[in-house]
Amino acid sequence: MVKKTIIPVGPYHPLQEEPELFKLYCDGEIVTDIEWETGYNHRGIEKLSESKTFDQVFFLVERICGICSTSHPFAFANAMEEIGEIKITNRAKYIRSIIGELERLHSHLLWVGLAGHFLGYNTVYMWAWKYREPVLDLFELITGNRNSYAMFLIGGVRRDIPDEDINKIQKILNDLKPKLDLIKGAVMDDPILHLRLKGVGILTRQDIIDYCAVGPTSRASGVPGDIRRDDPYAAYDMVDWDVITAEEGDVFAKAEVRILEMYESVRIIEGCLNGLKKEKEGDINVKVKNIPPGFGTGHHEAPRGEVFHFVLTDGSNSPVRHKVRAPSYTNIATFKKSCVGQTISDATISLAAVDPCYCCTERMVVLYDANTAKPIMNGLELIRLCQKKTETLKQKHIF
Amino acid sequence: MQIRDILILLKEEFGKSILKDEQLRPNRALIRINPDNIVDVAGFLFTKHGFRFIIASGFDSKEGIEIMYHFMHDESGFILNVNVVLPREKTEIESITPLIAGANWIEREMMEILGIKFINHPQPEKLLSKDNWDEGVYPYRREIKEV
Repeated sequence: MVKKTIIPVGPYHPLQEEPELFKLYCDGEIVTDIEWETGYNHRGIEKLSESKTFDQVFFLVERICGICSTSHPFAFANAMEEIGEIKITNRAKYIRSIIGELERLHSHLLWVGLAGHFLGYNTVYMWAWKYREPVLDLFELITGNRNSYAMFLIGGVRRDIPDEDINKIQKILNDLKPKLDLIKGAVMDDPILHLRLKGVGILTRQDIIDYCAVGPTSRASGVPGDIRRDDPYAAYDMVDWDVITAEEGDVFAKAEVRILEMYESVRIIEGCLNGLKKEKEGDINVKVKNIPPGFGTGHHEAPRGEVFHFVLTDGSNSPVRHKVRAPSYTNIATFKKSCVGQTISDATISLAAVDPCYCCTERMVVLYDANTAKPIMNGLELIRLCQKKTETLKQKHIF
Repeated sequence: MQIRDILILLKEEFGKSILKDEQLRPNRALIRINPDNIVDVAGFLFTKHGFRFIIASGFDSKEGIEIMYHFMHDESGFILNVNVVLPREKTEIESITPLIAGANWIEREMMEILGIKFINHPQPEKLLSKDNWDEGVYPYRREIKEV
């Protein structure tokens, strides 16, 4: 009998921010196979969506993921507008693209920081997270929220960007550009990172095609797919920008693609701000009477790749079926190719390189008694417990 | 490639197996095929014509259990939806995972949420619910209103 060593990473592990279990099958230091277990946080959002009205679904899908909290509403809006054959105003298109690109900026900065942290390069971690703050401030200025922006609705957006804010936004972007240069230099000109990341976790063009990977993961392996260019929506075909690709397919190439993409996001936002100046203020949504029976397929190029929503309707005001495909669903599966044959120490950064988002990938929490296997607490009881604790804290600290 | 071209090519290649074809919008099309031909059609699109498999959506309709396979031609920017209807009494279809590795998880997910059997799937295990879900309870079937 052949003995195998299994190194478990998870389900709860300091390296990962969400629950998942990687089983690394090892021969000495070399990973020979990898298996992934999930379902620790399956929330049944697709089923829940069937009991919501279309307007409520936006708030639901926004909570699929905290980082791409606008990508899901974006793709859902595209799907619904496809069913209803709704044309949105140019001003709404520009605002949608601005929100989408700001999200890419904050998400890529977050990833660069985390990747630096995983490698023990904490300067990059501190810088990236520090300079991500102004992007979140921009979100607060535009939407009123630093996260979960609640900007989308069928037929447009909920809030306008007033003309007097355009210069403020431009100023924050101007201040951000030298910071991006700083981070770019710290990553791409660092000889140690070159040594650490080049040739590690390589995904070939064929791996990407076989596993149907998307986003920066595929673009770093020379597959130039980008939904914003291939199937344009919102204002992406109304402004100038380029798709960033690299050929090497290693972790360094993925970092390079994400860093250079941030500059393109700034370009898109600037183009959209210029476009906004030409459009009438307040013209941000069109009236939508009803959604006919049919189906729609909407997608959006989220920071991690294509978010895809399939919505089936029957003429009522809620979906009959709502399928959500987050980019990590296809990207995580590439671990089989990127980690096998590498050492254990390289496996961690190869895992992190696709910027995995498990929340998106699985979408009720019930606590079970380990001995009797009976449920001991449901969601409602958990909320009551939280409220009770808040109440105690309030009394203790006299708010 | 235009969306029309691929619809013509599909009809030439598969003839009567294409039960319905429709161009819904400038960059969206729908074909309904005989479930027996799914591997051939997926191979024709994925291997021969460079389509990318986005995902498959399974749902319970009046006609039976349906699967909508979504393929995208990235260079031309259109989505081709390939629809199959499986009768309730025999919810079986050939797996496309041996051909497209990216279909592995979604087929396992459909297996546990809708009770579709994927013949020749290389790893027919549960993906999300693992061991703590009752056998034979498929949460996305119409009879189950809320989980």
